[in-house]
This record gives sequence, structure tokens and C-alpha cells, in this order.
Amino acid sequence: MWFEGLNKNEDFLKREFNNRNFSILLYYLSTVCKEDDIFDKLISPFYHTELSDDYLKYLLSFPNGLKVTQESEAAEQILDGNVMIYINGLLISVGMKDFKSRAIMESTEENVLQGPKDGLSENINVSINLIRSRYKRESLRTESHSAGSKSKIKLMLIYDAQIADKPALHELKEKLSNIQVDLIQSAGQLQKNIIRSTFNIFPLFMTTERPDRVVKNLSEGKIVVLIEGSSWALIGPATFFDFFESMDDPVQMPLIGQFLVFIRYVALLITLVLPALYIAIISYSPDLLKIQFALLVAGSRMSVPFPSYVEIMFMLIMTEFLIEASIRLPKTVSSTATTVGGLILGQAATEAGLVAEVMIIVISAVAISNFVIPVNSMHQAIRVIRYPLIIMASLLGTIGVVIGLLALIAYLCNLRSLGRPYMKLL
Amino acid sequence: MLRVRYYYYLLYLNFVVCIIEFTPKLIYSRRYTSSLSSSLISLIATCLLIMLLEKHMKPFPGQSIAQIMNGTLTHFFQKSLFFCCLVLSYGAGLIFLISYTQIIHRFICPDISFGLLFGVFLFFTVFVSLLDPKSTLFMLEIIVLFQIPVIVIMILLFLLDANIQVDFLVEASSYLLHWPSYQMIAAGAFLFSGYMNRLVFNEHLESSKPMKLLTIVFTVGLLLLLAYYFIPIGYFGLAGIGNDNDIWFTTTNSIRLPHFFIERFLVIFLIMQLGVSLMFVIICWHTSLQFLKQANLFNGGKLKWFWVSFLLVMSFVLWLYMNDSTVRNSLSWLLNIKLLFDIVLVFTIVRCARKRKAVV
Repeated sequence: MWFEGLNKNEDFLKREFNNRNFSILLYYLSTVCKEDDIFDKLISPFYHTELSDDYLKYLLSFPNGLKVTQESEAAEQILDGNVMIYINGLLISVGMKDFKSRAIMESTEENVLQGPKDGLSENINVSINLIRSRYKRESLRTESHSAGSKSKIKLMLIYDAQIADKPALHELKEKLSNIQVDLIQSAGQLQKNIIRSTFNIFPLFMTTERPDRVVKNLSEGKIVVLIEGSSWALIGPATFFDFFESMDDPVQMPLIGQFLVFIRYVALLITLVLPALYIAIISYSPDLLKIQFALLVAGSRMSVPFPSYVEIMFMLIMTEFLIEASIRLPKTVSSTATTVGGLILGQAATEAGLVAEVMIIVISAVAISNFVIPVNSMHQAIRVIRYPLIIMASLLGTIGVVIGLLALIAYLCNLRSLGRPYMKLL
Repeated sequence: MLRVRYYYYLLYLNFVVCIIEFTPKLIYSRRYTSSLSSSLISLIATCLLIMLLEKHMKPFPGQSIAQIMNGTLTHFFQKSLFFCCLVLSYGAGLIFLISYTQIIHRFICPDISFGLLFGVFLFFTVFVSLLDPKSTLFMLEIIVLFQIPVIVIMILLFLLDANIQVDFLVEASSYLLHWPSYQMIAAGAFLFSGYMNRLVFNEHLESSKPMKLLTIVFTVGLLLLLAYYFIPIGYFGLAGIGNDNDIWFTTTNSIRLPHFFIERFLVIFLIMQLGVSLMFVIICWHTSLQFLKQANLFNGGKLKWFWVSFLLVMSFVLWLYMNDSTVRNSLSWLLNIKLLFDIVLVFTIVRCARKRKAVV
């Protein structure tokens, strides 16, 4: 009895067919194979063939028809959507897979104004199709790998063999083969398993759902990993600065594109430093400001009963709640939540004298500038890294902010993405 | 291999940090006699040493100092040299850290305890100096490139300032023809001594073209030297700068930025300078640790943490015994020794290169 493990499945079928001269046995999972194709391409020709050898030749003429010798290998093929045909004492595998996925959808997480709108698909073949249609070079290579001891998810490594960074490619392959985890279902999860560092919060690989970004990176010698069942691709090696580029930049006139990138770095600085700087200036060195400005801030804080770090932590955490709530809530409710949170909480808090008006401006500026960073994984990292800076500012004032920033620079300079420096200015 | 521009950053960092916080106390102490002539002579002398070193380092691309010296010097002599280098660069870093903590404490945060400030700086610099050489150089690049615009703005603000008295400048330049002294030359040479970092970073840096390097170092060095020597004099006059230890910070404290939300330029200047200064200490201590590594004393986890703890404890203990005057005295001792030692090292490299050539 073959395929003991699969036998207990409701959707596992074993069908026997006989004609006058010979018989065959088909094994497949009905849920992942196309039944119509099985009938048209396997069963119907079977009744029109006289000799078993001719039918065997016919089976091997399929582009993915192959002889399988081991039962375990055959079981894997069945799980991968192939049909196993037992004929003349041989097992032949023929691909009839029908894994469901969405049609090509619009990219929703990385919006652009003028660039192409299509996004990668959950189906690897469709994604490769989208990439190949934009990048027609002979040197483009696709290599299949798998990861996850239980999920056995198919990964596709794509790179341009002529320009890809060889040591990086070697390192990535090695890391992929060393992944020891049960399940992998998304690009982020794969990234985490490749990096394998508990304390790292910065994304060392770019994740994207845009085929145009994939192609741009391929043409720069980077390596792309597609994951079956996920519409996100992983791109490496990446640098810190890659995360501040949007696919809109090449579409714009050069000066405008550079201006947009510059604006993003300003936003990074504001979102990272402003809360810490507020604490440092208010609590430690108000003398840094011009007198009128210092008096204005002091005046607006007159009724506030807490030190500045309590005030800013309270509002920042409220903002975090608001962001989290608006992501998870159903769309119909989320607008109400933001109105209640943003408008009413902000206004009521200042009127009650719990927080200063200037602080509301600071917090709004911080929240808005955080969203300017175009790649989600980076803006999450920046969101978290603000808090150590705030703690440093609470303890040491301006000096704390500077030391915190220097430590951050040192940390970033020490990071490597597939052996390449992550933070190298020029 | 990294480009040669990192070498320029090392030279620049050394110069800009020392000229502002370290040497004014020394250089202006003999402004009526040998300061100006000695500084110019030290520039020429260091340029010659740089050319000599670069020319003779060329046969050793990508090699560490130990590899360069192997076959020419005995292991004992090599280790002694490394030990001296280690002590000198550690000393320079420590004196500098204490001196800069004093400045920060005085000008930015007098209400934070001095010990806490020193402790934070110490921990930060020790742990960052453990980074690998390439990461240290990447960090150096970021910090130097962010600092240059502030320095350019500062020099422009000075040049456009009507309070600068030309008479003071003419008076100061009239002391050019005085006979130079060794101590002043040593102080001046220390400004340009960033070239010695080639010994540590040679493994990761490309070779330079000595003539091109020389031209750049000489021109930029001369301009910066003149700017840094004359600007405070232009404000205070030769007599006015006598009693102030932190002349550069007093000078920048007088600049106001009426159209910016931070009014005192000193704050921006000090914050940028804090980055550069800590970077300088990091490079110094990184150099020390690299010399330990070259002497095979920094391998393995336990030994590494032993040295790190030693560095922390040692620095803390020394800090307890150092006040303003001991810092200044130990600095002038260090400078006097360092120039001689640098010359010895350069000629050792020359000898190694000659021997290598003879063997080939």
C-alpha cells in the first residue's frame, strides 16, 4: 500500500483505470489539482492509446513529467500539486497544480502618484512573469529553494548573474539553507530568520510588493527572494538610505526627486529627535532658545503639573494607541476613532491643562513626519528607536540626545546586510 | 579596501579637534615669541613626514603593521613599539576626554554632575572603540561630513564680523620671525599627527598618491592653521587671549544667530564639536586596542573583556587624580614625547620598506 501518510486525507484520491491492453493508477490531491485538466490530459488520452509504452512516452513529454523512484519524493510531489501515475511498475509525476491566488492586484502599501500600479502576486510564477516582462536580460537567473521544515514553502531566488554581488549571493544561499524553523509564510518572517538577531530592529532587507522596485534593484545587482503564498519580495543587500527612496522619485524631474528625498531625511530627523529635544530644552537648557520663544513655551506649560518627559511619554503613547487602533479597526469605525483620539483628546488635554499647546504641535509634527518615511519596516524601526532617545534626554538633557544619536550612528555603521555595509554615507 | 578619502577624514579630525580644544592653551602661551613660526615649521615638518610615510607604505598594501614589521624587527622590539603606541594613543584619548568633559560641564550643563558626564562619555567611547575598523571609519565619515558645514558657517561668520580688528592681526603676524622652539613645534605637529593612523588602518585603506596628498594637506592645513590662529586674536588681541583657557568657546559664545530659533551659536558649535571630539577619543582608543590586537593580546572573549574592564577602571582612576593643571602638564609631556616617537616610527617603516625592497 503506497502513500500511507496521505491516505487518511479526504481529498487524497487513488483512481484506477483499465483499457483493453493495460491499466494505470492515479494518485493526487483533488483540492490542489485541476480535475478538468486531469480528465482532458491524462484520462481521455489513456482510452485512446493502445500500448502502455506509448502512453508512458506521452506522459514524459509533459514539460514537468518525470520519473520518481522514492516514495517520499513522490509524496512531496503530490503535496506540491502533481499527479502520480503508476504505470508499468513506474511512478511518473505530472504537474496539474491549481493553487489559488488573487489575480494581479494593485499595490496597496507602497502607493505612488505616477508609477505603475500593479503589485506582485501570491503565485510565484505570476510574480516572475511580471518581473521578466520588465527585465529582459539573458543573465537573469531564477533558482528554487525551500524553507520551513513543516511548511516547505517554495522560495525563488532571482538575480542578474552578470552584476549580482557574488559573496552576498553565496552568503544568502548559505543562510537560506541554514534556516531551521517550522513555518515561514511571509517575507518579514523570512527576513527575521535570515538575520537571526533578537535585538536588531532595523530592517536589513528591503521588503516590497512592487515589481518595478524589484526590477530596479535587480538592475543594481541586488538579489531578490520571492516567497510562495506571499505577495512581498525580499531584496538584499540593502542600505539604510534605500529605505528613503520611493518609486515616485525616478518619475519626477531630477531636482524635484532630490527635493522629495531631502524632505524625507528632514522628516526622519524631526520624528527621531524632536520629542527628545523638547524634553532636553524644557527640562535642562531653556536658555538655548530665544527669550520670546522660551517665554512662550514656559507660558503654555504654566498649568502642566508633570515634568516634560511624563507629558511627552503620555502623548506619544496615546498616539501609538491611535495608530494601532486605526490599523486594526474596521474601516467604518477607524475614522471615528481617529477623530475622537486626535481631535477631542488633544484639545481636551490642553484645555484641562494636562499638556502644553506647544507639545501638541510637537507630537503632531512627530506623528506626521513618521509617516513620510516611504517603507513601512523602516518607519516601524524609527517609531521604536525614539524611546531610548527620550530616556537619554530625560537623564542627561541635550548631551543625552547627542550621545544617543552618536550611539545610533555607531550601531547603524556596525550593521551589515549580506556582508555589505548598511550605513555608508558616500 | 576603502577609498583614500577616509585617510583625509582622519587627518582633518585630528586637526580640527586639537586646534579648538587642545593646543590653544599651549600655542598662545608663547604668542610673543615662537608660536607662529613654530606652527608653520611644524606644518612643513609634518608634511615631509607624511610624504616619507606614504611613500614607504606603498609596498605594503592591505598589510597590518605587524605584517609590515615582520622580518625586519624582532618580536620583542615590535611588541615594545606597539606598547608605546598603545600608551600614547590611550593617553591622548584620556586627557582629551577629561578636558572635553570639563568644557561641556562648564558651557552646556553645569547642573549635571561632572562624574556622571565623564562616566557616560567613558562608557560610550570604550564600547564604540570596540567596533571593527571599517565601521569606525564609516562612523567617522558621517560625523566629519556633518561637522564641516558648521565649521564653514563659523569661519564665514567670523570673516564677515565687523568686530575683528585688523591691527591685532598685523601685530600678531609681526612675531613671525622669532626663533622656533621644540615644544611649540611638538604642539603644532600634534595638530597634523592624524597621518599616524595609517599604521592602524592600512589594512583597510587604499594607498594614496604622496604628492597629491601632500599638496592637499599643505594647502588645507595652512589655511586652517592661519584661520584658527588668527580668528581669536582678531577678536581679543594678543593681550586679551592670555588668561582664557577655552579661548575658542569664549569666542564662539559671542556669536548670536538672530534669525534662528536657537540664539547662541556656541550651542550648535559645541554639540557638533562633541560629536567630533568623542570620535577623536574613539579613534585614539580604537588605535590602542588595535595595537593590542597586533601584539596578540586581544584575542578571545575573556582577554577582550579583561582589557575593556581594565580600560574603564584605569580611566576612571586616572580621572580621579586629574584636575585642570595636571591635564595641561600631562598634555605638554605627551606632545613632546609623541613627536619624537612618531619620527622613530616613520623611520622604522622606512627601514622595513628598504629591507623589503632589498629582499625582492
